[in-house]
Amino acid sequence: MLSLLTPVALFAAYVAAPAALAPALGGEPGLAPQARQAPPALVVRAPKIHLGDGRVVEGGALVVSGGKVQAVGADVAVPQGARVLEHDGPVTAGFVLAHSHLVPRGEAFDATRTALPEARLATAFRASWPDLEDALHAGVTSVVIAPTPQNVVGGQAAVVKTAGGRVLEPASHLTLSLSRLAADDTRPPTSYAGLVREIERHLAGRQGVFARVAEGKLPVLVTANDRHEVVRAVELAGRTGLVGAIVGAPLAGELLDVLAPSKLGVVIDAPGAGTSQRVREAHVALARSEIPFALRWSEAENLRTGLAALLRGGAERARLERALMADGARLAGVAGKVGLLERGADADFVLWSGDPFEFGSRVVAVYIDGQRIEGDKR
Amino acid sequence: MPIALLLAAPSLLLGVLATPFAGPPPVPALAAPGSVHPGVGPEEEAEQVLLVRARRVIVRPGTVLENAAVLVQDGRIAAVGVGLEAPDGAKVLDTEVLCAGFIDPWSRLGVDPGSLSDRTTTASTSSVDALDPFLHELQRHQALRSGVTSVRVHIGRLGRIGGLGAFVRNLPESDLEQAVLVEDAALTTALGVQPGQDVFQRLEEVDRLIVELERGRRHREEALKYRDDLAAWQKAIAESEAELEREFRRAKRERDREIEQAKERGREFREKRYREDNKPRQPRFDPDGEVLARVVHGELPLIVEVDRAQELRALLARTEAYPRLRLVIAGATDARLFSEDLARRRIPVIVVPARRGQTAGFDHDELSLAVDLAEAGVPLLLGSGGMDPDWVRELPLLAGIAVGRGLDPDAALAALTTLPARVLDLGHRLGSVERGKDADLLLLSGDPFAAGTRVERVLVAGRPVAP
Repeated sequence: MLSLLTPVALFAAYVAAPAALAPALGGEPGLAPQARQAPPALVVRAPKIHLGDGRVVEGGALVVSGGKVQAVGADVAVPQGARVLEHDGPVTAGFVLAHSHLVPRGEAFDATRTALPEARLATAFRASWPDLEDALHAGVTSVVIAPTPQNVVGGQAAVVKTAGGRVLEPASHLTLSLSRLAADDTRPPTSYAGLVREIERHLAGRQGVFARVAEGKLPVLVTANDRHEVVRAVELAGRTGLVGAIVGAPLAGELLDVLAPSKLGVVIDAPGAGTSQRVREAHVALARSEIPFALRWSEAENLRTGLAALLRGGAERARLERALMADGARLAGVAGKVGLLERGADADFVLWSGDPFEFGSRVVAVYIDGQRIEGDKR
Repeated sequence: MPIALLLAAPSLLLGVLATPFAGPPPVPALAAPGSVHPGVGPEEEAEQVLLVRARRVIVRPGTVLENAAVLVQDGRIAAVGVGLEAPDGAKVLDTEVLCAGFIDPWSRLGVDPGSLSDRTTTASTSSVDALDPFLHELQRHQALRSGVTSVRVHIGRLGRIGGLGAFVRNLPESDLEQAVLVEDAALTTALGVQPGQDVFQRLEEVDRLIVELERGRRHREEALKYRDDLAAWQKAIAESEAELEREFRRAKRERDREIEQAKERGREFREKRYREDNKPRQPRFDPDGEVLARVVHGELPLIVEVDRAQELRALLARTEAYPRLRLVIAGATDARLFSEDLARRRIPVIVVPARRGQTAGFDHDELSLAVDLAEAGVPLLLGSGGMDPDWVRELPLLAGIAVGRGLDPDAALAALTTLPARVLDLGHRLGSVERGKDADLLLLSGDPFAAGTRVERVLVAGRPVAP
């Protein structure tokens, strides 16, 4: 009996195995693999794999196939026919930055109207924007593109990949602004009270996108820099049930007791060289708190310098890794798709020449959706 | 006149005998700059004997001792080595990495904006007189916490010649007397920093600098000539006196006879003027010339802030005529064009990696400049630029970024420690962890240029001052 059943069992296993992979490969379950010309899986072995939430897998491997992560861990099964890539440096998940101004000037700011809730920045997105490549070579694979904060309701931000042109999420947030730029004298509203009233009016009206925002289904990115602006943003969110994050807020670390009860996260600028000590200390305090925070893209050197400054100031390494990857994805609204190397996530990861936080390390290669892009030699 | 001298001799002798004998004042046994407060007895400081043990002691760039220790006593490094024992009563500190404190050779701590932009400074204007010990206290503290233990400052950036810069230790107390290590560390000048100048006006500035150097050279020549003339005159006097002593009586009789004869004839008796009576006149006191003379003869370094290629080329060409001049270039944005020349003449260059973003009218990326100059063999120093006191604390971080861009780590460490000490004539006291030098030390949690390294403790003159 055993001898009869064994080939049957083997055949069943043989059919069932590709069925497990089939959803990722995009084919129907049950078909034999040879019939579908599936691309071979890629297995990346590296001494350290930084998953994105602070955990590090030592001496393990990452299996990707069909543009998605199939498995990652200390001992993963290598599928048949997989290509094996040995990398002698660290591997990290691709960085996810929860805000940026990568948008060219003309697209990022509309001077004619102060509220553009239905405007979608994703329609302006082009894979050929020059700053995307700089971001890519700093290890960033997904980034939120948002309008500049001159308008009280700037429009709908999007999450895009830094290479390949894929729009991960075409309407990820509604951007609001409670900053001085939006309250300027030349266009109404010209006061902070006016800004708040404008936003509340829209939310009460529940027209268009505001319906989802008011129900907390669509997160917001509120730009607020000065301390009083941050407090206004938090109070507004409390009154109207907004979820999302505050963008800017260099002194958020001094307002932890205000921020903690709200559900808002904070997206800060990486404190590059020359940032004042007060801002640095505030950032370190934020990094030590429980408030979720992520980083904003400015320039490649500022990102690395800012991380070093935060480390030197006493922030914990695991927390900074989370801010760059897992929490960045969370605040960008794309958790589960990017920011963490786990089964089912997009195959976005970076091969580094050395510790990604060290000054001398450079990007050897970036994979976005499983496609490899070589790092440049600079 | 020679007779007058002989008559004065006895009174002189009396005067000498009358002065009570006073030898040089006794040097207190524990005197070390920065470690003894006026008013605080030496006993209180003596008990601060420290033994600092480290997994790695970076003695100087390129020399690392593993599992070594440093004994700090009386503000100085008493011993460095493996297997040192802590003497009784010593406090023991442990750390991962120990290295010498960083030096910022171009800083603004303690200099107010008015002094910095003073146009009336001359070569002898002393920057120390302008230093405000209460200004920039926060920045000083922040600089200490990031590892910068001493700085060089100067005033008068917009003047034709800046003041004599001072070398100042970063001490948290605002006691200038203790902090100033050298009052005349270097003479500074800036070329091409006035707004609105065209290239010919900037080149004229180089001419004017050379005029000043010539003035210094002449001053020294005159001083030497005066010294020689005076010696010759004194020698002649001495010889005449000897001769006079021999023929004193005869000369006296002859003189009396001539006076008699003159009286008889009704003529006025005029003393014969000897050459010895013409004492050489001392040159007029010229403090600027004095300083410039020291600069021309290499006794003081000359730090020239210059960026553009035109002035830099003119400066390098014209200063070839002063072989003993110790030139230091600061800023040096276009220095890549002259790196061979600078390396051959061993002219140090102070690069300011903090200048990105400051509108200076030209493109600059000083971090890459530092890397390129070091590769070409030019002695490299890193400074915060003397404009913004906030940037002093960024210096170690910027050095780390430069290392990340390819700067040799030993060159980076030398740029912050041994080279500035040597260029400013303090190489015997600062810049490395060696016996006899001042105990300006940093206790670090890792390699000095690693991204996450924290400064755990800072010792200045043997005392823990930060954090």
